[in-house]
Amino acid sequence: MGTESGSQTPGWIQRVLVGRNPGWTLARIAILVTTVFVLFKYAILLRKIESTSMLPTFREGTIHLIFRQAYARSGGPKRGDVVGIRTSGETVMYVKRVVALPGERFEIRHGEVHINGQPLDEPYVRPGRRAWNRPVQLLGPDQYFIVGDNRSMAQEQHEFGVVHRSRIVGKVVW
Amino acid sequence: MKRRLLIWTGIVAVLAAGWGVRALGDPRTRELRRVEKRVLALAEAVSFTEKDSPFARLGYPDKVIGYFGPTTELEITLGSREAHATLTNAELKERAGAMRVTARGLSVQFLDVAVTLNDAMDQATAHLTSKIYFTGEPDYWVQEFRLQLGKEAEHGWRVSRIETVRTME
Repeated sequence: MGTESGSQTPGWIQRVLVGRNPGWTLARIAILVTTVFVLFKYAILLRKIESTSMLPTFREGTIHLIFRQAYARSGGPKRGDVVGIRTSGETVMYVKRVVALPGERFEIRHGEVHINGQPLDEPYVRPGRRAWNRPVQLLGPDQYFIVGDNRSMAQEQHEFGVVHRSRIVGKVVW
Repeated sequence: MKRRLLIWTGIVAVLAAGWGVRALGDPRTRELRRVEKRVLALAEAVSFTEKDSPFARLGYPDKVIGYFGPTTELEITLGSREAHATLTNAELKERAGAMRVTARGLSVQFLDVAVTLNDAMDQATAHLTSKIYFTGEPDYWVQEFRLQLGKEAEHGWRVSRIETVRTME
């Protein structure tokens, strides 16, 4: 009797590799793989910052999480949101801050952003900003003006400008 | 339990095989893959390093122009570098040679290549993101490009136009 029940107990190698019940182990693996796939395909993106344009908020070399569904129900990005912007795909992305919204008139005058003629309070920008200039522009219905937090860079070295809503992948949440 | 597991594994395998045969066997998909492969090969062909052999340096312009048609329209703005012209193959060869001499090294990577084909499958557009690094420069460039390619009976897919696409206006 004891020998019979002993022969039904899986050996330790099998227990380590596939568990006591291979069917359940397979089901657990399937659920895990599906969850990870769905999570990374539809909910989150991890991206490493490879430039200094978002200093001091994000340092070069740090990894951040972009939430794809951040604007799924809301009306779209809000002023001050840090967002991920896709290129032809999502392998390389820009991470920038939304400073002007659709329908607004913006300009940069001596390094200071003005929205509809009023200077914008930007507590995330370090003192010592350079005298950037960009003429007045009216944003279209699905256009956002985005710029990095590091304004101590030379203007020509800093990628910023107007992007269409369709390029905004999600909000940086961490 | 084992029998059920085997049945499910069998169903998944049959579905995967069916999808694979359908996807890979479709002439349009095959042509799209061909164009993508050609575009990725172009990135490799234009890249060079300081350590290349003299033989490789000499052969560089010929290797590069093999990817381009008789004339190539350029609409390129890359930082302070600009090129707006239609170049013949000979002019392109000359420019490739000049760049090979002046730059110490060039590394080009094409990412997220999205290819579209016309109905006749003889014209293609590839939208891609490139990472371009000139040896000695502190940073690399990220730039989107749109390449137009035409299919030639003799040479296969060759580039006829290159334009930069601005991510932010």
